[in-house]
Amino acid sequence: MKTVAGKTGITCSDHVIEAEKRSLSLFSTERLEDYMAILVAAVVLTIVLLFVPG
Amino acid sequence: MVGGRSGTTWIRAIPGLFLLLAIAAFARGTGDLGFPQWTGAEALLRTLPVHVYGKNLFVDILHLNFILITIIIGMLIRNTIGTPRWAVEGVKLSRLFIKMGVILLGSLYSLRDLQKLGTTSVIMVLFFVFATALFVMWMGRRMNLDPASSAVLAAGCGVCGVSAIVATSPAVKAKTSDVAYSIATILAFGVACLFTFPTIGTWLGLTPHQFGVWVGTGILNSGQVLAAALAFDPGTATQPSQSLKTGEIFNLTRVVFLPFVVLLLAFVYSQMTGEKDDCGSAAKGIWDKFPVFVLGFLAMVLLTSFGVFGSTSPPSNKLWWIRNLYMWFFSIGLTGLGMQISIAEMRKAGGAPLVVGVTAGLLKAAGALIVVKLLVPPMP
Repeated sequence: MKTVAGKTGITCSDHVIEAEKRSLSLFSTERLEDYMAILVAAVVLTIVLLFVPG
Repeated sequence: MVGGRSGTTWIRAIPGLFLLLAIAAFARGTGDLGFPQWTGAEALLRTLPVHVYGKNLFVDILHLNFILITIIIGMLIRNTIGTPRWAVEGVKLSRLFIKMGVILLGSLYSLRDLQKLGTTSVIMVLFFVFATALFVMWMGRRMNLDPASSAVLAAGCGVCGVSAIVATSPAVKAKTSDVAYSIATILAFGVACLFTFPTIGTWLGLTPHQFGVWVGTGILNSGQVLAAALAFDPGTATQPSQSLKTGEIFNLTRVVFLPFVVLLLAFVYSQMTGEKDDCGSAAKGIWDKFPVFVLGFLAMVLLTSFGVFGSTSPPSNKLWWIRNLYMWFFSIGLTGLGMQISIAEMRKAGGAPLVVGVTAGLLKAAGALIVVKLLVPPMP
């Protein structure tokens, strides 16, 4: 972790974590949320391809 | 464990998801769920005999369709009785549903559409994003705002609201209070836009395509762009919303610019303060902040263009299902978005950040509207 100049004890990572918490997501980072969205969408599309006729 | 969360967190999210689904079904109707008896709150509003110039005041003029109804119900719950404790974890999944909806939304576009809409959107978005960000930095300096506070506000006003603020805050070493003020300003402005843009668009006689360009450029928050576009023109599975189709391309173009704006703001911040950015190299910074779900959207456009889901016009049965599904995902996600809008949180906005943010937001919206009226044709 890197210390943010002029703000004792506050680190770059702390800022990220604090900011991410404010975004009210169940995921610890936005990147994880993106991966999960792609994964679930892929599952949904596979189900549609396999089970929906026409 | 996923993202540091245990399996019980996911189980605890289920009741909240059912609450979001129930509110979405109340607003949309339950026909798709096999219960055609309830046609939805929007249909109920349509029956109210309040007309202006022969149009229904609530649905046709104020655009209180199922999308805005879900958001209003969410906001009412959050700001009156509060989100029930058993529903909190489920509400936190609302952004995931919006992103899944955006990925499936790729089924609306062909590569040709993307090329046509993409060229205009890149030019417009490039200008408005960087002009707004630089304007906020300049105005913030004139009003003696802390450079870090100006930078997070610039990201919020220039790119895509809360996500941009969150992404920029470590690069410019913003304090938690800077982040809170900026988020409050962006949300307060965005909520006002969300409810007024569709009515203004109707008054000005904008076509769905023109409205999509306007909201995709002028509204600051991604979820609110989606909601305003769907409020103006909800569309159906067989005749999808044109304002959504256009607006989302503009919105995604803006989101893709996020990492570059963060770098620009970090550079301007370091020039203003003499401090060096300690959050990594430029290339790593761009990849770290790149919105990966956009790749899912592009993959969906490719799959649809190559006919994996069958004919697009008229849409195949598979595409009809996919388009119905993304409307449900959006309804669930936007209900959750409403439940995350706290009026108490918005009241934190004030002073110089509010003046700078609202001025920039209004200028951007007015500038985008002028460009739309002068240069954007009624149809894509």
